[in-house]
Amino acid sequence: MNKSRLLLAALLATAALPVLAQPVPFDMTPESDLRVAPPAPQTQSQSPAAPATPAPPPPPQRTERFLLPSGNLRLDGEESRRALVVYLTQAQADAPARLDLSYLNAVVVAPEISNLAIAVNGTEVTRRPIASSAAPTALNIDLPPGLLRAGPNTIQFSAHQRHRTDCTIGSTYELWTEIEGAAASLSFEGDLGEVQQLADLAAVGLDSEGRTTVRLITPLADDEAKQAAIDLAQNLALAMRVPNLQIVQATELSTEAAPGALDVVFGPASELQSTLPDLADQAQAGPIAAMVPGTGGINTLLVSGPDWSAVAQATDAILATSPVSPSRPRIDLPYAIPTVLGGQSLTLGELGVPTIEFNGRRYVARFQFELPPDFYANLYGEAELILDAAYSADVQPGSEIDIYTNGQIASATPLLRTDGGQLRDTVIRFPMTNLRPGRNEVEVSVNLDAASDAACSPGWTGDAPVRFVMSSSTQFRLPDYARASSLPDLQVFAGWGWPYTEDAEVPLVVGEGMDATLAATTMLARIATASGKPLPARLTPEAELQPGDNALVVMPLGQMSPPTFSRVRLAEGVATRAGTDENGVLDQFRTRGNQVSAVDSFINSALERVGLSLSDLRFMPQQDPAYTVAANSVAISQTVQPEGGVWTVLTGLDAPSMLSGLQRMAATEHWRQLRGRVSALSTSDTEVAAVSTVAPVLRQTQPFSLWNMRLVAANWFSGNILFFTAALASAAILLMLTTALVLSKVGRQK
Amino acid sequence: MSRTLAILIWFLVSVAIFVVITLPVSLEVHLVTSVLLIVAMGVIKTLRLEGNWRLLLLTFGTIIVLRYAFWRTTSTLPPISDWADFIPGLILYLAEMYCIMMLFLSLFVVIRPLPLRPSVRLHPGDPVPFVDVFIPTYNEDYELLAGTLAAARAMDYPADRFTVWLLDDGSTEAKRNHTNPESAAEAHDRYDQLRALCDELGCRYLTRAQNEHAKAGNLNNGLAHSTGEFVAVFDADHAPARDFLQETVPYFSRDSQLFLVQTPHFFLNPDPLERNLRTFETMPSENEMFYGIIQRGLDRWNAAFFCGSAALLRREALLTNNGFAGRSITEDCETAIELHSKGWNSVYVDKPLVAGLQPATFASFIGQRTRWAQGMMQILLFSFPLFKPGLKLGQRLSYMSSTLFWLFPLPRMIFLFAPFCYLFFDLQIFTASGGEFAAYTLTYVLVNLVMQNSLFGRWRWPWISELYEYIQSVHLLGALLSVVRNPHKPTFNVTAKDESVDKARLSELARPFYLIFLLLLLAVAMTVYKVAAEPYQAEITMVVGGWNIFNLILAGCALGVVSERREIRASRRVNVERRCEVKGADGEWTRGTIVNVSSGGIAIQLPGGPAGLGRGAPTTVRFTPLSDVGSNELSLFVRSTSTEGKGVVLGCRYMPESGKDYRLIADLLYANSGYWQQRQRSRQVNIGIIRGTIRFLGIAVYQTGRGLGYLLRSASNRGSNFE
Repeated sequence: MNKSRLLLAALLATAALPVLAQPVPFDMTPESDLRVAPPAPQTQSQSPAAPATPAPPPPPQRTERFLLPSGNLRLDGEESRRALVVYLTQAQADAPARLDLSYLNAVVVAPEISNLAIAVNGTEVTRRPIASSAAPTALNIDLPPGLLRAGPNTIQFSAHQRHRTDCTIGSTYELWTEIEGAAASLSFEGDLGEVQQLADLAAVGLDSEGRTTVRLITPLADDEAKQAAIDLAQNLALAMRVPNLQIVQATELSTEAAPGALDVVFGPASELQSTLPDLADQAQAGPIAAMVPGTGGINTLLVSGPDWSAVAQATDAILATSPVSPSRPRIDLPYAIPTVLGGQSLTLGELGVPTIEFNGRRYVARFQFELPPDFYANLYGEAELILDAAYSADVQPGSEIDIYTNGQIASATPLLRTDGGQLRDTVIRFPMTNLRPGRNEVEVSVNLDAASDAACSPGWTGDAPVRFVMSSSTQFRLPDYARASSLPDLQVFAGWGWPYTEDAEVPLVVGEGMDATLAATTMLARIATASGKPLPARLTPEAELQPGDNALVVMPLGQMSPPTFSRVRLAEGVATRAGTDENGVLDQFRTRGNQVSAVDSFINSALERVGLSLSDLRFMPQQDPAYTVAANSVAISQTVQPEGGVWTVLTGLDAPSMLSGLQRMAATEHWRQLRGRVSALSTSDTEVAAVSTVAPVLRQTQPFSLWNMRLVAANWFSGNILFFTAALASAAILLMLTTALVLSKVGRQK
Repeated sequence: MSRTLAILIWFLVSVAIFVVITLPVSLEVHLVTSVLLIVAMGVIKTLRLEGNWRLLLLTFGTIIVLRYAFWRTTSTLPPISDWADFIPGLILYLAEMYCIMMLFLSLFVVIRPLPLRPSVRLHPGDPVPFVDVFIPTYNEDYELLAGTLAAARAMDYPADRFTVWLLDDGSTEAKRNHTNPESAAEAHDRYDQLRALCDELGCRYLTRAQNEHAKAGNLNNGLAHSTGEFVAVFDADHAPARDFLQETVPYFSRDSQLFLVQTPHFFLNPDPLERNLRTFETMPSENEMFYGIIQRGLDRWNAAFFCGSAALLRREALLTNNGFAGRSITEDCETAIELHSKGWNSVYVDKPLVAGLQPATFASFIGQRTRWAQGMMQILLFSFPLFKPGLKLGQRLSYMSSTLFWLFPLPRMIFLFAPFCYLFFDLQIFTASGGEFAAYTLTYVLVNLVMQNSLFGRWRWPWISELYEYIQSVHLLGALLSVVRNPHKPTFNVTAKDESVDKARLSELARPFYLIFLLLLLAVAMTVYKVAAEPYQAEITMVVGGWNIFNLILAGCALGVVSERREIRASRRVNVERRCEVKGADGEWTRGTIVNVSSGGIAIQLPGGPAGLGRGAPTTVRFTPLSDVGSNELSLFVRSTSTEGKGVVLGCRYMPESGKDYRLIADLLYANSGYWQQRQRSRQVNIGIIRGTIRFLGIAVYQTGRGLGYLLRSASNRGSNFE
């Protein structure tokens, strides 16, 4: 396999390549002999169960640790910065280390004025021109001793890229540098791959595609085993600090070491005979959770004890030795992510964005922050960015500051005047429409229209003097926002485990068979990864499910008993159970909008002009219709029971498609798309399809206060427009009647 | 249910509404809600639903206006740190808030105006109190005074129970002994003529030593020399109808605390705007809104105030205040607020019982309005009505509404020049996106129009208020500021009523209107330039440019107002139908009908032919007067004849020789106030917002052209006879 073929495969495996998706106004390809084809819409080249190792096995004397959590790493635009965290054992940190990577860049990036800088733990280890448009260039950087340390290490890539010839804002979208995931690694002298301490679990790391695989070596025969497996998976996910955790079941230990893989021998001492007979005695003595030494580099964790309750105790020890804390960030979230409460403001500095002096055309600042699970202000109200910036006389009016929230454009503010040179305390307000409970990403894109760019003399893209300075004292401010929980909402479930995090114990119903159990463990591990703490899930038989309790159900539709089935408002796909519910099918056909009258379409087009749709103007109380689960797909659905319980169901038509679907869905890019009351992903989809909640139930989460009630009402009314009109109109009628009454009492009557 | 409880409930409901209104809901919600409420208002208005429906319409409107005010206050002001934006932004904001406050004050006043009071009469056996009729004069001419005195004498009231006083301030001792011998001689002549006129008509003549305290001093001098229980006041140009005393005196016997019965001022001639825009016959006059609904609304709160004329007052009440108040130059309103605060009551009778004259030229119109505006400002400064002891809450708010109204030149001028801040100086004084502007400001403007139209539509057509405000504001702004600088400085200037415009010309006050128009045109050009040159803010530019174009339309229309058309004062005719006999050329009396009368002459229809009378022929008409005048023959000469079917209509001019002739003319002109009311009613039609707007645009386009035409002619005739 030669290098360029390999790169092509890696590129194809990347689901989305935004740069290539952009229309490229002008292409200088003749300079390059490598054509990178746009990605095919759907690629599923590798099966997740058997991770292929594209790179040849490293020579034994070097230990290689892969770095990139999500395949390749892409640096876009004129100034771009990405970072990641890698956890090391003490031995690795002490060993002579080398950073290896390979990158390719867009042909339009001018090498003489563009550079790529890499910093490890804040110390720059290299800075070199970006000049690798023809073929990937390998970089091998020996790290100075003492730079790495045991535990988390941050590696930051910064690209300063300028276009060769073009001075337009549009041209900045053509600038990219991509670091290949399979070739980005940290390697150490010696055979240091083995993790020997429980506290170093996070050093298990990743495989070349950014995944971590946990092999549960246990029969998972009974409920006790399943319960323990679920708790274990959650603890492991948190202790390992990885976003993409694959959990598979196995019966035997691995035969050779693989990157990013952890064998977990799991069960009471009596079951260790086939796997680790040597340790059975020790396990018989009491709970044990420890790395098994002497496995020849195969990372093996033993979690055992004399009986299942001791195993459960041992499970808890995992998280106790590697607790979640701000100093141990998730490997894909290197920067601090503060929680922003109502009325709070943070400077960009506090959000990890430094002051920058910029001479390009489009400066992009990105930051992340968390909102509490009961953030309920997405339909009204505006957040503020209070700019503290300055610009040179070169900058023209018509330059624009765009703000994107979670990838969606939220505001586009033109600079109307550029005579002052300063933007002090300039407030840009943007709607909070796309903000959500949990982690949010905001992108501030400053598009500078400079007079000198019109001439665009050769080399100007790099020579231009500094024209824009954005200070890290620029503030991001949220108004006092409404706090209430609106259910069902899978977004909060996926990001926070809400509303289950508040419960002492969460009943969990898991269907028959290994696949259902693995699906439950994977889902809970994924939630724990996102929320930062494990859910107290308690395996419960389906028959004991109480509609008043918040509960989780993981089972294929066919296994559900009729009472549960009727409560979760799901329906089976037409193909499998045709004829059982003809009316339902017909209703669904109707509600899909096949009968749109001319009047409706006229009203809709009129409403669209003001950003509304006919459904925004509903007045009649609505019910969420049953959702039909399609074949070959996985669906997560949340329903609020009339008795008060919130039930979240993970399901599919059969257990294998449920499990394989969930494994795809658990990838960060898909997991963050979960929302509404039902989210589904079928094998043929590249995006999660979501059904939004029509009739949400509001729950109070804060101590009662009039102020909060007012804000909650504002948000509720903003989603129920006609109710606001009706409320105002009826209040007006009341006022009219009382006014008439008062008028009949005061003043002259004749 | 008790009054207090009702008010308490109302208060609680208002608080609840306030809470809902101030919810920070999204823009879409506001837009949808506003549109739906406006549709509901439109339905109520189109179906002409009255009573509580009207109240509901006003409530819906109030809600949208309050939401606008909330949004305007919380989200549109520029940051304080950008003071160049902030200061003009704040000024514009305050101007808008003033308008909203005035909307609510006027809403309070006219929320449910008193219904028309039934006509009253003194019944046989009722006590007939003694009335002194005061006709103060300063410089009005003999004929005008003769007409007014004659009409006053002809009032239907026992002749021995009232005295008509001519209170002449034009021939005071001071004036007769003026250092300038010419002025002194003039005053002497006037003194002699008017004394003779009074003797002839059976009126009392009174003048005084010095012209102290202007009109109030003159009236107080009248009070000092008379003793009647009641005092009627008529301006020199306000001829009362025969039934004036009958319609007003009976109210006083019903309420011993009543100090005032005010009746509307009705005008026989158009004001300059009506004349120059030719809207007099079809459109309700400006003052009809005040007398047709606002005074009725004030009456509900016992706050109808004295308007200087056409009113009957109780002497006892006046004496508690040492007569008519003279601190401000609007002695009438000041007197009323003083007496109201002492616990006296007032009544307003909405029936035209006097016929008066409007100032004929734009300059004298502005002079009159300057006095009113300055006087009302003085009242606002001297006795701030909101906190004046003795007034009831309703009266406080009513007087606030009446006096604060006169601040309108400030916001009007601010609205005129605000677009320039953006168009010429690139200031951002109103921070809102195009979408917000559409959702909030446009709905607010629309709601404002609908509310104004439903409140005042019968009396005021759309955009005409804005036009009246604009034409006054240009000159009133300075006058208002001078009051603030020196509240005691303004002096009482008597409005000239007897001028006439005998040549078409530009008003002497026209210059600023043309300058403003030019500036607005420049701003339109700037708008076009900005849209092309700065596409990134084209949306804002178009919004502001649209506002500027509205101002341009208004200013264009005003050019027509200051371009004075030629007109002779005496030509306005009132239709009547009175049997008469005309002396033919042969000396025989021929039967005919008087079909219309004016202050200058009459038209007589003769069914049997002209009876030998041709152009220029002198003749005599005789008819039965409604009151005993002592004569029934009036000398005329024929100015025109026109055939009408078999008969002929003679246009004749009066040749008054004696007081009796004036009494006969008055008898014809002012005999029946029913005619006047009929004439007003025929104009009081609500033509609706859409028709009104189209009509206004039509007028504006035509008048802009006419105004510019007058300017060109004026420029080419400079030095010749045009100006």
